[in-house]
Amino acid sequence: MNRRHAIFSAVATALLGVAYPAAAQDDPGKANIGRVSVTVYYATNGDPITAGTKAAAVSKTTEKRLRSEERLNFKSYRALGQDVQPLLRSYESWAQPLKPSDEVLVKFEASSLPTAEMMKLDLEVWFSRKKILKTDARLEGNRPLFVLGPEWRGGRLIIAVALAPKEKPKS
Amino acid sequence: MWLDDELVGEELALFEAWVLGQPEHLAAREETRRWRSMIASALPASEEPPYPDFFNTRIAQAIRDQTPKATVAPEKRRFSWQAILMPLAACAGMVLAFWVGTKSQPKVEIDVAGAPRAIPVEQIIYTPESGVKAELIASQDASAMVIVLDGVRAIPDSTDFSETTYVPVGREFDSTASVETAISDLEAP
Repeated sequence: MNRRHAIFSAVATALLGVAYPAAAQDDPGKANIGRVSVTVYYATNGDPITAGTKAAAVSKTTEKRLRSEERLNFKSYRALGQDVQPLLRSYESWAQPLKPSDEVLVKFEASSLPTAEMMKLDLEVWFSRKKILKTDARLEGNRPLFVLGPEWRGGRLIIAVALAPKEKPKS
Repeated sequence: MWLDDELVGEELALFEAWVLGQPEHLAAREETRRWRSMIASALPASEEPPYPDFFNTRIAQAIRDQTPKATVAPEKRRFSWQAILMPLAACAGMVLAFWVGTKSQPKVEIDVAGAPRAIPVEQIIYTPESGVKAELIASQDASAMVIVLDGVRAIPDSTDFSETTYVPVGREFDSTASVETAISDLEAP
């Protein structure tokens, strides 16, 4: 390798090093077009303490909303975990609300541009590392999707998928 | 040369006088003459060269190459406004044609402000796991879409979710979301 080849290789490597991260950053498919929250509730007619001491109480608004639907009506509710993931323009996202457990996973991706009233998603719900449900969910501002899921410790798991408010900028 | 019968005159006479006493030389000449006559009988007296046209062309080319060429003075190009005006006229013609085209096309204005960007259709539900059934409920009371799954294998009671890293406290996002945030994110530069 002569001197000219050495200089050319060094310049090409430097350009590649600069250009690659810039290209990855400029990928329009990674544009954030919203945020989706996935929350797992434990609903039971028995003693809610069976969910564990770390399970949190549910807000009155959510409890009232759940109780108003006959199929979701239980005596007690507890929040087991939540994960908020960005909704990307071209790529799928995975929410793992019971992290580090992968017992419940939700995969979603945008299936159309969001409107002022609605956001349309292709959504999959996985239990125990198996795809159990696939649907095209239409999420509206104040209209989440509830999935009444598997039994656990005498109750049922309810998976709530909703649009999440905009992330506050870090000060 | 004597062997080839090429000696003539005085040289031939002198050599002939000497060689009369040399029988081996005489025998050699006779052998040479015999061979020559045999070859002459086997080969034609003359033969045309192969590819005579090509042969002649190469000869003519060689003659031309050796002939000094007369230097031809390059023709001096005369300046002409035509050389400049022709491309300019062509460009002007294209611009004029484009302008006329834009003026003659009727403007079709489509109002997209009120057009739906996503047409609501019936929600599709698919349960790939055998034995699992799903029921979709548009719950007016809960102001939510509800999917009820039946036949899902229960999670073992031994499974512990107490190590979950984020448990929401206070408000949950399922009742406070707004798509306006998504729109503003989308339109942000």
